[in-house]
Amino acid sequence: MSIAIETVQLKKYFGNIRAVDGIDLKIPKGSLFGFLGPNGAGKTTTISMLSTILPPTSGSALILGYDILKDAKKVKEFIGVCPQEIVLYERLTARENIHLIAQMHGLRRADYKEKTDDLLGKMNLLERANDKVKKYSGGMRRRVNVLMAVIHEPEIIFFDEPSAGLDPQSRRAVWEFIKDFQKKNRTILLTTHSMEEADDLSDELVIIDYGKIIAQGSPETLKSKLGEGDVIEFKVNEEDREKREEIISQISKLNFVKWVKKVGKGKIILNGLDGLRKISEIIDAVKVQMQDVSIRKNTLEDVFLDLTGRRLRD
Amino acid sequence: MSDKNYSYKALFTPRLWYLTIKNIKSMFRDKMQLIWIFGYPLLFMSIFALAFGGVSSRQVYKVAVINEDAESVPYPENSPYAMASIIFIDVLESKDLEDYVDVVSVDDYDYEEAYKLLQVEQLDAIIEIDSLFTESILFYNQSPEVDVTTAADEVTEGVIGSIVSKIVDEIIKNAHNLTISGDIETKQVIDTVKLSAFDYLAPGFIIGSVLVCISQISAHFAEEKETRTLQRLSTTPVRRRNIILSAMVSQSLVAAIQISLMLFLAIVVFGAYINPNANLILLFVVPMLFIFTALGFGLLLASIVKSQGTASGLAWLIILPLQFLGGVYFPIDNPIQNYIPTYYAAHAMRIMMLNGQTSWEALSTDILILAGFGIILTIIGILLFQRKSAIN
Repeated sequence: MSIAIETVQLKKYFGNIRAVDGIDLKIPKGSLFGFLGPNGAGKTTTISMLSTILPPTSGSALILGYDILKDAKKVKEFIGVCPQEIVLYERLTARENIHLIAQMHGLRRADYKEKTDDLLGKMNLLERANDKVKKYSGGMRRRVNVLMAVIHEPEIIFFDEPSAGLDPQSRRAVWEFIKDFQKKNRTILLTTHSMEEADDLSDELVIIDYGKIIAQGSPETLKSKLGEGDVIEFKVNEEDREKREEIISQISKLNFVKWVKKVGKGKIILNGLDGLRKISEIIDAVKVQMQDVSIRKNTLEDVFLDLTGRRLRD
Repeated sequence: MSDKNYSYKALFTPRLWYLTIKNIKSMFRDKMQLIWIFGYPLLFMSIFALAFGGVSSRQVYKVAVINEDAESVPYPENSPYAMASIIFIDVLESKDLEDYVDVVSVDDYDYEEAYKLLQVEQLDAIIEIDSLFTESILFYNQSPEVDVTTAADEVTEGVIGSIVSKIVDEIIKNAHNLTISGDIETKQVIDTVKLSAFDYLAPGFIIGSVLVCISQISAHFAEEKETRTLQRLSTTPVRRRNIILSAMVSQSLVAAIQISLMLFLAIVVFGAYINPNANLILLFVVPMLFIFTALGFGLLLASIVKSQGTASGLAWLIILPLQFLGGVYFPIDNPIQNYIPTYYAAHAMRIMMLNGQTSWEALSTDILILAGFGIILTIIGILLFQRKSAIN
């Protein structure tokens, strides 16, 4: 297995803030690797270092064997970066924006002209390809943002929150696009704070928090660590705080319950194989009104919750 | 590595070209920028033409003449030729010019005495006629040497310099018909003195307009930083120097348009005086040379600013001292101007436009100093910008 990205104790400090605090990674070629974590976890800082625009405080990183500091120019030939913010030349058209990146990568006109139109077509932007991007909607601009990262067909692509702020339809289109791209044996590093995105797209992922990797594995492996059962999430009246504690205490003692977490003021979630009926009985016994209940499969959010005691969106 | 074709052999030029095109498109598609590019010279020159066009600089300049022309020029026997310097002084003292020039002394003072009077403003100028004045005209058919010393006042220097130059031209034209009563056409000489303040200030206005490049290039890079496009470009193999050079090329193009427009407006629309001997190409080339100095300052500023608003504001902290300490609009009598590049650019423009100077001898000092400032500031600007903005 050849390695596309390798980092050893990669760190980036901004004064006293440890944005990235010793990350070790080995990302195989051709994989779609997820970086899941809340805002401020250090995902974008890691990508900035790997894409050579931010020097690490310490540690090292190799991209296809090239050092990000010593061989920065070489590294840039192999990478494509889709930044988290929408970064476009507002007074250029979508086509011109994409062409510019192709030109910066030294592609010949014959090589990028048709490819640009093909990509614009895939993202449903061809009809408005000659409009200035400042006239585009947010979703259209984000799609152009994505295309600018891939026009030169890089070996490694960094997608930093590629679907942030997109409507479900556009998000799905971007996801499909990323999956298609991976089929061309490209290595993709995807950062996201969306568990659905990480779950749906990643072959393997790391969960990062406060600049450190707190878990690594495939989405299935990580979820399976929480157990095979369902997650039961329910909400009780806020004023019944003492009774709620009692419920948690009693539920925790049930042998089929793997874990119980309080989330926010009134929500309790737990993982159990089969216990809704039993739980219902406990709640009835302490005479608390249940406002809402849901049963679902494990998600990566639950994994994060289990590891940190916080939700991803907190 | 993918199967894409990199045109490595031509990495530098095509990228520079593509970035320049991108910059130009961005500039010319922005209505506000267009108004700025074309409106600024129009407004700037119109305001100054209105403000100064009607104000005559006419005054009677008190002049001392020191005639060192050789008294015994070996004229051919029975020659009707007279000493050219005598004719020069005759014209200067003629009734036609008495409203403009008052020759208070001819050989009454030596240079040192005259210079003391100049310092206490009892004289406006000293004209020294060279010992080979007549000989140069009559026998060598060359322009004679006449030194004009004035106070540190560009207007007086321009007026007296133009009068001297015109009279000498007329004498040379009539070199073979000169007699002691030689009749020199004074009309053109008088036209020179009738110049308005606008005529003297116009060359400086053109240099002043070039200084706006400082604001433009720093705002350009501030926008690239604000919108993070500079960072996006930094993830591609393009070199930082290509990005900087492309901005310099596109800004130079805009400046070239502005200079052309300013020259057109000043000379054609508002009728600023231009010496018949002036070279239009040089009038364009000198401000273009000065652009490198302005862009160098702009890059220095661009390396520290992060927003367009800051760039535009701070730019004027550089532009105003350069304009006023360099005597672009109004002459200043302070040695500090010797360290200000605008002084040399404005001086070169004035002696070209008003005195019709085109010779390397007359312009070399200004041009070499400008080139020096331009090269040094551009190099420092590029290095500092590369260092400060390479990694954000």
